[in-house]
Amino acid sequence: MNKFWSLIKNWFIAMGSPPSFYKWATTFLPWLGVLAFLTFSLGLVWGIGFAPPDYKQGDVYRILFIHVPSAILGQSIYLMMAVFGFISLVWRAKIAGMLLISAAPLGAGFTLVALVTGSIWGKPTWGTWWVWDARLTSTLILFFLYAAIIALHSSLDNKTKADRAVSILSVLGIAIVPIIKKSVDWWQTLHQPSTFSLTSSPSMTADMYQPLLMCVVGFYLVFIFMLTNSLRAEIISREKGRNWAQKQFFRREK
Amino acid sequence: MLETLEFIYFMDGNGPYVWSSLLFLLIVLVVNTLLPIRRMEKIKSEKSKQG
Repeated sequence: MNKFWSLIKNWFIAMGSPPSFYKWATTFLPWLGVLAFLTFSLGLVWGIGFAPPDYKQGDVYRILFIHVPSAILGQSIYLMMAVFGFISLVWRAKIAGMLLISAAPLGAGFTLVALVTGSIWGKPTWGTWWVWDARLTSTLILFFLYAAIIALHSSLDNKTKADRAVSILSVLGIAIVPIIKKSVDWWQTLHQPSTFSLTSSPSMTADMYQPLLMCVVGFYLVFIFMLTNSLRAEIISREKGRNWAQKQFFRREK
Repeated sequence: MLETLEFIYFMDGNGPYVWSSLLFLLIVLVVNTLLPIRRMEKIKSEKSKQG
């Protein structure tokens, strides 16, 4: 067992080095892409094509299979970025700063999908595209936070300073995540209560819940694939002058 | 078969809401996947111009 943990520890230490991560990512990215695509497609086809219609909303509820995983990703990517920000500030790990800024556009994308699909879903069910309700407004603030992190990082030429600045911002902004999560309990909102809960059983039947779980897993895998892809570009962009990058990127890709 | 496909497409009038949501998701995912690839290609072409 100790050997297993020391292997895991050594793997994590190796992944903290940009050249090792780049080498690992280049090998596994196509496999990760195939796995992500299959799981993501299976979840969406199952949910949109085969799950039964909702007794109240009919077929329009199928937006849930896009909206809920996107909203979960939007919040969990931010949490992850705050952890990377903390690691970057405390241990000055270069890869943590790169991970943070590579994840930001992906988090912004998933949050935007959650906002837009929520708005599309709102029209036939609430009769409006948008209301300044606590859940919607706090999610919009999350999107602006992502945008602020991306803008701040790209405005600074010194990447070490840029990493530190966005790390501080991401750690400070973490308060938004529990606010979004609890907004439906703390305030009177049009938005329905959380679909997923660790403490209570699901509020929907198994034939709706199972494809939703599959979608969540598929979306996470797609995110891991896209993050690996973005991180490779970030590593190469910063380390293009190094010997290892000359060998592994420029010679390999010719 | 054709009726089933037609039903899936229209979904009792809810099809435009569901399919536009899916289309938006796919656009965001494709853009977020292609941008880093283009970035790497740009670095490579700049490097090859420098010789």
